[in-house]
Amino acid sequence: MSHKQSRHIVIAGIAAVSTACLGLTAASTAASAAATRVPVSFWTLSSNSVEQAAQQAVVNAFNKSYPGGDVSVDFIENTPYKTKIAVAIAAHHPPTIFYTWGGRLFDQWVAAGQVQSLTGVLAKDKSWYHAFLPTVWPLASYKGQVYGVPNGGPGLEALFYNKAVLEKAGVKSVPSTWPEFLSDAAAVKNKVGVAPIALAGATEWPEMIWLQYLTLRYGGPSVFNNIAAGKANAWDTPAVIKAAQQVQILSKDGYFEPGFDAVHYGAGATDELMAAGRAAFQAMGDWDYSAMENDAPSFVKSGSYNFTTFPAVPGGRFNTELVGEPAAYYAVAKDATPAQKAEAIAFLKYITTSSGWNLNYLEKNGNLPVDVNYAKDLPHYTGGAVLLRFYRLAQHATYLQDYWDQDLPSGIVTPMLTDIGELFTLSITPQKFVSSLDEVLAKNG
Amino acid sequence: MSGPHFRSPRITWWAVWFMLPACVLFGALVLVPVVLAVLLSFANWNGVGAVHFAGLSNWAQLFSDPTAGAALERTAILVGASWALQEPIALALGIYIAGKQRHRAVLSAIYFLPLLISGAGIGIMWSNILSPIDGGVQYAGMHVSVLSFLNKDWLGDPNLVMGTVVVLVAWEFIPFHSLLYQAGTRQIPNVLYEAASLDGITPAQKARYITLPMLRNTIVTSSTLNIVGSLTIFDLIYTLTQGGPGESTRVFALDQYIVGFNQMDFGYGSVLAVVLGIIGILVSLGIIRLTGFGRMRSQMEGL
Repeated sequence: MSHKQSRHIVIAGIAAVSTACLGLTAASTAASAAATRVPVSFWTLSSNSVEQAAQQAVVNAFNKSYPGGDVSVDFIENTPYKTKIAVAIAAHHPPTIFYTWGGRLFDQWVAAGQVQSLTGVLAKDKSWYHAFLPTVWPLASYKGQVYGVPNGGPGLEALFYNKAVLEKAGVKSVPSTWPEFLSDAAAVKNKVGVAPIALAGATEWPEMIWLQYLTLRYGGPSVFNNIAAGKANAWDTPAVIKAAQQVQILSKDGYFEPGFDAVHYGAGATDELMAAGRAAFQAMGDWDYSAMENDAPSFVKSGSYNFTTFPAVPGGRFNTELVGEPAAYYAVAKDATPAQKAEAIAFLKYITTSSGWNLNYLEKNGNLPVDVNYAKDLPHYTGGAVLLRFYRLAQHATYLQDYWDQDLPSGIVTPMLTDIGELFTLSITPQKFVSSLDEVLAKNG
Repeated sequence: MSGPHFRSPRITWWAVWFMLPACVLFGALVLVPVVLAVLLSFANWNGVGAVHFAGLSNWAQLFSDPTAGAALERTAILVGASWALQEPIALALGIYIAGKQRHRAVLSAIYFLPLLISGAGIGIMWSNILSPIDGGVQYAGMHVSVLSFLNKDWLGDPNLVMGTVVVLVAWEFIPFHSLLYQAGTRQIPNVLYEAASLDGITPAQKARYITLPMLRNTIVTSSTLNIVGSLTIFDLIYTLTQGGPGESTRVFALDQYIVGFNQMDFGYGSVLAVVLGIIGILVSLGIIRLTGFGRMRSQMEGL
C-alpha cells in the first residue's frame, strides 16, 4: 500500500470514528431527553376538522404543561370504532385512554379486568368530582366503583324538525302527540311533496331511536329493564309489538325518504335532506346539532332547525321519559404503567375542566359542555339557546333510558340491529321480530 | 438413452433449505390459524374473558341457525350467478383482446382498470355512486329520460340489492378472468387455424371446434378460481352494504365476520369459518375430479 493510500485510510478511519461518536452522543442525548417522556395513547371518536383541531390544541397544551407529557390522539369514526376498541380490549392491548358509552357493554370490559378504577382519584379530588352533573356516575360504575369520567355533555335523543318545511305544509305548531305527528307528516308528504322523515336506515341505530322511543312511550322503562336483565320472553310484550307495528306503518306509507335503508348517517346524507328542505323530521341525538352547524351553518343560523321532545301517546303514562345518556366517558386502561396512568388521569382532569375543551371544542361547535360551570356560557355561541334547552332537559331529567345498543351485550346488540333493519324494510312481521329476539336473549343467557 | 441422475445428496440438502422459509411462513400464517380456528370452534369465547371449553354445542347450534342456512343459500345464488355472468363475458373479452385488432392494446388496458382497485375501495365507491340521495346513477335516472330505468333503489330494495352485488362483483373480476382467457387463447398454436382454414372454415366454426376446446383447461382454471372466490368474497360486499339492508346481502363470509367480530361470539364464528373452509375445499376437489383436470393431460399431443 502506498504512503498516500495509507494516509487516506487513516483520515477516513478518524472521520468514521468521530462521526460514530457524535452519532452516539446525539442518540444518547435524545434518549435521555426521551427517557422522561411517557407516551400515552388516546382514542376518541372522529368528528369534523374544526372540532378535531380544537381537541388537538387542548392535547398539545397539556403536553407542553405536563412534564414528560406525550399524549397522542387517534380520531376514529363511530362505527369502525366500536369494532376496533372491542378487538383492542380482546387483545388485552387497549389504548391508555379510550372513549366509551358506559352501560352494560362497558361492564363486560370492566369485568374482564381491562379498565382502571377511578374511584380513589375522584374521592380525593372533590372539586373535580363536582365539576360534573351528579347523574353521570351510575352509567360508568360497576359494582360500586367508578371506571370512567365524562368527556362531554349529556346526550339526548329528540325529534328535530325543519320549521320552514312545516310552515310550507301548513302546520301551525310543532306536534306534541303521536296522532298530531302523523297528521303533520301526512301534510308534509301531500302538500310539500317530500318525505316527511329523514332516516339513515343503513346505519340501523337511527331506526332504533324510533322503536326505542315508541316502546318507552307505550310500555315504560320496565320493558327494556326486563330485556336487559335477560328475562324470558322479555321482547314479546304489547308495547314492543305496538311500537313495531307503528314503525312498519310509517315505512309502508312512504314516510321515510325513498331508498332510506341504503342511506348512512355518517356521510351526513340525512342532515343534507333536512338542510335542503327535503325532509321535515329527523329523530336524532343532540350531537346532530353540532354536525349541522358544521355542515350547514346557514341552515342553523336561519333558526329553522330546532327540536322537540318525542311525541306523547294519548292516554300513556310515560310521556315525559327521555332516551339519552348523562354523558359519554373516557376510561383508562388497567394494564398501563403507573407513570402512564398518572399522566392519563392528569390529562383527563386537565381537559374536562379546561376552557379550551369546554368552550373552544364543545360549546363553540354546538355541543354541550362537560364541566357544569361552563353551561352558563352557552348562550354566547351560535344556537346556544337551543343547546341550553337540551342541557336543562338533561340536567333535570328524572329518568334517562340509555340507548339500547349501548346497554346490551354485543351478542344481543348485533342481531337486534339486524332485525330492526328487517323490520323497517318490512321483511319480517312484528311477531317474528320479537320471537327472533327472544331466542337470541335465551341463547345469550 | 438414460437421462441425468439427480441423486446427488448435496443438491437435495440445498433444496430443503430453500423451501424452509416458505414452509415456515405457510405453517405459521396458514396452518396454525386453521388449527386454532378448529380448536376455537369447540369453545366459547367473547373476546375479552377466558376461553371456555364447550364441546359440540357450537356445532349443534349450526344446524338450528336459520341465519347461517339463509346465508348459505345466498352464497349459492351468488356463486351460481357470478359464474354464469362472468365466465361468458370474460371468455369473449379474452378472445377479443388476444386478437390483432387495431385498438386492442388500449382497450385491454381500460378493461383492466377495475381489477386495480381494491375490493373495499370498489364497495365504498359504488355505495356513493348508487346512493339514493345524491348518487350519480340516481341523478342520471331522474334527468335523462332514456336512462329512467336506472332510477331504482339499487342498494335499498331487498329484492334488487343481491343483483347489484352480483353485477359489481362481476365488474371487479371480469378483467382478471379475461386475462386468463387472453393468455389461454394466445397459447393456441396457429397451425390448427391454418389447417382448418385450408378446409374452409367459418369464424363461428373456428370458435366452436378449435378455440373453445383448446381453452378447456383455462375454462376449468378460471371457473375454479371464480367459484371459490365467490364462496369467500367479503370486502366488496362488506363495504357496500355491511350485509344489509337487514340481511339481504349477508353471504356466508359476512355472516362469519358479523358473528365473530360484531357479536363477539368467536366460538360459533369459528364453526362458520371451518364450515366455509371445508365447503371451499370440497368444491375445488369436486371440480378437479369432475373435469378430469387432475389428470394433467396435455392438449398439445401431436402438435
